Amino acid sequence: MLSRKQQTVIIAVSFLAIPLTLLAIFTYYPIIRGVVLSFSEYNMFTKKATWIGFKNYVEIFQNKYFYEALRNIFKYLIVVPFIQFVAILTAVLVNQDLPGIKFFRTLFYVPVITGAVIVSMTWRWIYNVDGLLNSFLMTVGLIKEPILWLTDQRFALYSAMFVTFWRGIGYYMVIYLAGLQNIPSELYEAAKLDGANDRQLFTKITLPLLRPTMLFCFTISSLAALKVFEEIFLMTQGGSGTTTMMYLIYDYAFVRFKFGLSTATSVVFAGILIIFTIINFRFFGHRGEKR
Amino acid sequence: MIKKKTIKIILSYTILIILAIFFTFPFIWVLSTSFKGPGENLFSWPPKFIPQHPTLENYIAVFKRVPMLRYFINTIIITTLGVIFQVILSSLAAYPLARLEWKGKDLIFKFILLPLLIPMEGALIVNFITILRIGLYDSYLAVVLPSAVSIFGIFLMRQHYLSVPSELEDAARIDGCNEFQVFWKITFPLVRPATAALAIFAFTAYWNSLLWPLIVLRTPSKYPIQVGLSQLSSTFEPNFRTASAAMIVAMIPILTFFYFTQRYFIEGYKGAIIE
Amino acid sequence: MKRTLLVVMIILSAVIFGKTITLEFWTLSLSPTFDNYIKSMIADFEKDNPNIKINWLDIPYGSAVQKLTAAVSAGQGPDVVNLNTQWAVDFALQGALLPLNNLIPAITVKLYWEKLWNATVLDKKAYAFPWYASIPILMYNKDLFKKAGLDPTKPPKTWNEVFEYSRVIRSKLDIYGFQPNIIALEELLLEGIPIVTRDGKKAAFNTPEAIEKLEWFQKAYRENLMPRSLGGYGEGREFYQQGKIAMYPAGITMLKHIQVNSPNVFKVTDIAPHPVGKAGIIKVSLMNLVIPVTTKYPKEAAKFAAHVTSAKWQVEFSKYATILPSTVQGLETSEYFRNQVKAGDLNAKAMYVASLAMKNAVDLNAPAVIGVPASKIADVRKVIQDYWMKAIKGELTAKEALDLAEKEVNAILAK
Repeated sequence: MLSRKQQTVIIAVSFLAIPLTLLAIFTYYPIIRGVVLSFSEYNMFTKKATWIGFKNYVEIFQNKYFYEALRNIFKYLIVVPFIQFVAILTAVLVNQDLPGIKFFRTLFYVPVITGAVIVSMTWRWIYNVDGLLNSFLMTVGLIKEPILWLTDQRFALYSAMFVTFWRGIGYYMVIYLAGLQNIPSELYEAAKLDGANDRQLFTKITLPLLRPTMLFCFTISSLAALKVFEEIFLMTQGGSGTTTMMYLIYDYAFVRFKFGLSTATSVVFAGILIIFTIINFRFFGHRGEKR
Repeated sequence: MIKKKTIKIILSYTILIILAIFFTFPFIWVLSTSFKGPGENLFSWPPKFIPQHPTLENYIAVFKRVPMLRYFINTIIITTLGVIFQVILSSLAAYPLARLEWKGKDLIFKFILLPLLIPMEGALIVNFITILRIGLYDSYLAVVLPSAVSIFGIFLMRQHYLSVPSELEDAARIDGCNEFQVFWKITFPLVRPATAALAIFAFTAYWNSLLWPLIVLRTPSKYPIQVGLSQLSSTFEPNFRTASAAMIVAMIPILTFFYFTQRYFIEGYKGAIIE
Repeated sequence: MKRTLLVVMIILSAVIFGKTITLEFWTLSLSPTFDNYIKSMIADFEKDNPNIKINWLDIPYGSAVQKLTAAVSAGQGPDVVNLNTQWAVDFALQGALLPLNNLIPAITVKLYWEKLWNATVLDKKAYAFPWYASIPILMYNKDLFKKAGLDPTKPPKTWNEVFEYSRVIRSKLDIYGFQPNIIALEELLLEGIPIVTRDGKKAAFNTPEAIEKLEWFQKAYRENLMPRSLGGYGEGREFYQQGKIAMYPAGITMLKHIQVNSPNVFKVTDIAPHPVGKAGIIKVSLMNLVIPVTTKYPKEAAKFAAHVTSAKWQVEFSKYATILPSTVQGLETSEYFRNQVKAGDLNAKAMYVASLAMKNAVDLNAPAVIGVPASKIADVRKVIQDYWMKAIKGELTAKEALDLAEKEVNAILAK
């Protein structure tokens, strides 16, 4: 009979072996390759890599679009608290055992599974100068002249953010539902017997017990906001002041074929993301992980 | 008391309906277009949501022009493989990182999270070359393998493992279970809601994947749905009716899958209470 | 004697059949619409070349660049690929394509319109066979014209006429006159304004004519003659089908869209030649066939590409799709088309009208036309576009925009 310690080691190793190997081949290897290539000018067809030292990095910091992209992705973080709070409330709403609730949950998930192409097509139609949004706002009298939601620099980014918000709620709702289901109903029953009302149930039981899930969701959501790509790619193509870091990286690699520049941008962006995450964890603490 | 409950129910349903419309309205236009006949103007203003002469011909056209059955089967194969891989590998990998005490556990976890912070678009090409080298070009496995380990999945599972009361595990140990049995009989069943959520995410991701299968598959008869459907948006004849019908056809399976797997959320915890 | 003959036959067959090669041929978004056409064209080639087999693969337009990049980088590229001019040039610059100069007889080059062939010539090396082309035409709504008091048999011929007609339409019907697809670089070239000096070292577009053209757009924007969302062809198509614009200058392929998706509007649509600017040229969207360097059979690939782009098969293609042949021998040689036009087929009329303009067709994506060193075109294009659009939206004056653009372009050219 193996000791607990030995058992632990065997489990740790056997459980992690395959995942780590796959990660090494398909995730870490490309990263290392990318970092190495960021110091060269690489032609992927002739496989010629010409060493140019830090030239790519210098070019990045001299490019005005880099700074615009940086500003935009941090602005994009605004969308995170909105998505999270609405997702939590929605999860609580659909956690009730009402007839037909499964049907509603499915409907809320529709924006998540709708392919990016349809989403962008229909939202562009809504954001049109003569589209649904402007017609509605003008009929109701909130605005007098149509607003150019996707081409006016003042609004374009926020228009894209709203679509991210719209798509994100269903996604996080699913995660919060899982978190809610983990809260023993006995806790609620006991509290109700003690005379607690709905609001107290929510603030004293639900929220605190949801904290590990919230830490997880806020982290993933923030990273997703900083890494936003699809909405920009499909609705504005980085125009009207909406360029983002991921769009730049894609543009350098697949439109300009400047592979080294693309991976260098990835490296710089990675640095920014790492710093951001560290600050995040320091600030919000490891509370979610302490038992 | 009764009145309060009724108000709560009415309020809930009202909000549910409003939200339902909010989340599905763009989709409704696509749905209505898919039933419109060739004589109808698709882009009339204001838009007409009810087709004048509803018809199923667009759906028939989709199945005739594109080998939908073949693509469906391919997608099922790829998605099933993908979901199995992701759920198993993430559930396994996350366990030692959450429970169990051993040296280097936190370090490896942070190491695993790292790639989330390093977006390498160029990985696409590097991975393609790797796939070629291992001889997996033009195979279903090639579509699934690079994303078989979901870092997001590991993160999610770990968070849930952490919230399992250690008392339950200790009780099992006292009862004489070895470490593996503790995992299999106690901890793993308790995180079923998270496993279900992970399965749903994996299913969605694989169902909608377009770019990678396109690059790594060569025989069109192996194409999954989204790749096959992209053929319907030809520059020369974007018949929105057929394209709309195709989009709906592609979405129904996921929605159905989601509708039915929800059950596991509820059963997941209720069935795991131990006396 | 018989035995020797038998041996010779066996050896010959071994040589012929042993040498069956397979060429991989990629097209962009042509399937399943044109399955019959492509398959019969391939069958025709295979009949004449029994030792060559063609493997046809159609890839979606949106992912084409990534798929081709991955394939060629991995040494698994196709033998003949369909690309638009811009992509062909991009790939050629990266050394991914085979120059054609030694692969075909000189006479083959003469079969195509010279300007179209030269679109993909870099440094005296040709990289692509021009394939099917699309030219913009002017589609307009006869009903709306009548309602605004304009004569539907007298469509506008110049951009100034488009402007004047739009004013009438705005004042009488309160809808937009037209929808432009503004690509600043092209607007300059269409008016005969050079982008750079002959040596390619300095910007040359900041001229009074450029200011005049930019101000023309500004006026159209201010007077609401064109949609302020500036959505280009895609949005124009939607607006035209909704009856929100009266004139829609766009590629012939759009006509088919309208026919299929908005039959009521199609019924009242008519065609006119696309207005030309001072340079008298018309822009063309050109598709080409290129040969990646990874091919193992360059001569056979070239032979196949020449077959696909032959006048015979391109004219045949025009029967199925609203495209124009890139060959000098065009639609006027086809009795089928002449009859269709007589019968009142609007699509045929559009193509006929367009094909008459082909000799003035220039691909404005070609580096030779733009004059800027190929590797800098993308940056220059973006800079000019940004400032041009800002001016149109009223954020800058025309002079300011062009001055700023000139400065930045000079900086790019100097690097």
